[in-house]
Amino acid sequence: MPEIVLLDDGKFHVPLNRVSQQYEKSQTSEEAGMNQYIGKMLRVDLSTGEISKEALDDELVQNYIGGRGFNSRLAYNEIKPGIDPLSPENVLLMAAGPLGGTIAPASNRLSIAALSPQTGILGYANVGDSFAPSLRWAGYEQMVFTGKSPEPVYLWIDDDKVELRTAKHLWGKGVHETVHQIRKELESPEATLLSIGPAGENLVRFACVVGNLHRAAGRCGMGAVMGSKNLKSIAVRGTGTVKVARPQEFMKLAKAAHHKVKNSVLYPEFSIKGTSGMFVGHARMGIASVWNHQRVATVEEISKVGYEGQSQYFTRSLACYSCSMHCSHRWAISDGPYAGEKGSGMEYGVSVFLTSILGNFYVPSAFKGLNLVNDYGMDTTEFGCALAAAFEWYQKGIITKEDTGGMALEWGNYETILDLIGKIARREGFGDLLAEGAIRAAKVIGKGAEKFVTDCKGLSTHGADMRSVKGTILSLGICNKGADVMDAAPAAEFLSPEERKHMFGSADYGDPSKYTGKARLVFDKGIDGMIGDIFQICKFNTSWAWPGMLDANELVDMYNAAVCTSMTKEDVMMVAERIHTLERAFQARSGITKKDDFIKGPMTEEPVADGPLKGERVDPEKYRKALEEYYELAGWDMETGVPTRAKLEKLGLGFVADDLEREGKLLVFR
Amino acid sequence: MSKRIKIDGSLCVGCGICELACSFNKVGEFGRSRSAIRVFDNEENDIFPVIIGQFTDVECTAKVDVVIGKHELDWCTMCRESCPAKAAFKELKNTAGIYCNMCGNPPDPQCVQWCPTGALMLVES
Repeated sequence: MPEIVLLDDGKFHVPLNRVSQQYEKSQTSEEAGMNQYIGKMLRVDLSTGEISKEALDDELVQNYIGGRGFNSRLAYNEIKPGIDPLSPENVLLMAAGPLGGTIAPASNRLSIAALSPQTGILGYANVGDSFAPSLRWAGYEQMVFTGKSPEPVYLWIDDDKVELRTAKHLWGKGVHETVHQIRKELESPEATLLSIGPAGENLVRFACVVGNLHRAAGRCGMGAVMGSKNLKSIAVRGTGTVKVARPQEFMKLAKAAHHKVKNSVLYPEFSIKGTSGMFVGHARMGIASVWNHQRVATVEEISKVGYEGQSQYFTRSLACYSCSMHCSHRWAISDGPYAGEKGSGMEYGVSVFLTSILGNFYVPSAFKGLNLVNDYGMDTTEFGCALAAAFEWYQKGIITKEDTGGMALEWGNYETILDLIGKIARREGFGDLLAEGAIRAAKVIGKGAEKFVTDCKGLSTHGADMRSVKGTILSLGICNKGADVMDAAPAAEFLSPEERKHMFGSADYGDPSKYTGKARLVFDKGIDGMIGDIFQICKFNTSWAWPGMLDANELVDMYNAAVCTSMTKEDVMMVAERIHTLERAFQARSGITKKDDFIKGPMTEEPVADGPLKGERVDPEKYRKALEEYYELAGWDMETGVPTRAKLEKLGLGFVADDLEREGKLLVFR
Repeated sequence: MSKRIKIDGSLCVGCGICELACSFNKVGEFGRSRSAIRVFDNEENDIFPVIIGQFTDVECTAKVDVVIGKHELDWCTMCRESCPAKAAFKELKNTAGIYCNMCGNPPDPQCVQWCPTGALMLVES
């Protein structure tokens, strides 16, 4: 019987070293000389102010490699499922990747994980910019925040010197002012930061963590977790370097990897347009949702708010650290009501939730909204979905001006949309209800409001109408953290029949209208995405985004040259499956089972109302069949959707099977 | 005929790959602090790489602003000297000697080799 140590304060601690009992241990990191290539763990107990540094555990490194792998394994160890995510018991985890700070393409990402205040289950999000490289130059790779600070603080990581500093004078300030003030008082203009704005401070359930001024770890309310811990910001300055084990080989591999990205099919368009290039394709397909999925936008409408409408305001292209794709932009508005507004960004996932889904086709308002959500620190997906539901409630008379404090929630009224950003962040009036997210707000309102919210596992869905895209809708259903389109949506489904024939030999491959074969595509894509998340390489440089980009082959070669290991591509794929299955098991311990893999709401329960895909709908039986095919591929039980003991043991997670069994979540006889 | 590195700031995307290529060339490791080229970003319209000149241990007195086109720029930001008044070059006081030497003779600047946008070009003087 595995040993679980129950601590006095109700926390429980599962010793990490149990993993080694399940399968053979290879060389320790120290024996392999790996320690000099891998950053340290920084542990911050915000309740006591105690800060400690540890070398990363051998087992963790060998079996989870880095990034999301570390976070998920540590979450399993240190977070008790079912606790209040806004309580001091929650643990906030942040991990760079093992290639962070090097010249490996787009190796700039940082994964953030904790129990999500929005869903109540494990949540995770990802941010680029330059935080992870700076963290690695300072000598760290993993951060673990426990407890709650009695007063608002920020963490200052200045190479070896790590200290908590008061943030009382910053509490209430937007991200913009916070970043500038902290850089000034630390006399470090080059410091790079992760901060929360008023949304995180006010525990808006979908508050995000903002990287410097304009990048975000958007989903799952990680900003609210920071806010609940009184942690305003984390600033880092790293004047050290990252060493690699085999420098010449590493450089050669990195150069080839950058070339692969630049010569990929995706590069020419994506390096100019970024994610906002996706809008027009969606409209042509007939999936660009308007009015909370009540109708679809025409190509002409969507062009106003996609790249075609945005580009006139772009002043230059912009990259995250170490990325040659440079898919983002600097922008400036010079006329109209928002003249003088300037900033960085404009991703698809921002514009769509401020414009088309809300029937707003005035793109300068989206740029203004972008600056507001970055400054207040709020996830645009949940914001947009909360408003979309609320505007439909208003349209259908479920709520009136009496409920909204006098606001008329009219589709397309961008002044109202922008006004609500501040109201939600400050939890003012009707904003206080929407700050709870669409699902909780619907429950409070009652009167059938829940019928107009589309979600899975408590996370709202994409801005596009995915009911006609059968692989993607399956990926939204099975994603471990809830409906997230950045998980496993097969890229092929968004190509035209001619493009699919050209790329894959047959228009049938990835045909969005079909369920057949989609379980396989979604499973494989999920592994691709997980590999990106393990190495914390931006997914848009990898085969997750498009065939022929960086995959496990290139990443494992660079990894081996960097940290002096000899892993194979198959090893990496097993690590990916291990993390994926571990996360699923963790969610199962919170009660997530097969019933939670069906997306609820109008997107899946009704047919498409208009456009080229009018009448299309999700067939519940065919969806169930595809879901069960997925379970077979993943090794999850056909009836419950919980990973089987056989699968868990194969991945060295026998102790997880023991936990599930003890908690009655595993069917013992399978 | 000598060569120099021509910088076109309008093409700079702030990726920092030049910093990594340079530090690797200098010390075989990756880190902006060991790079002789630093990307400055005023978070407005200006992003450009500055190639560090010879180390100086005193601040100069010529702190004027420069107007280029419509933009008023703080001269200190653009100045190549590794001056102690510039926070980004502070740590160079401890590692004096990091300055651009075109990656050797004949010149083969790695920043130019790696720049993904052509913002850095090797040209005849």
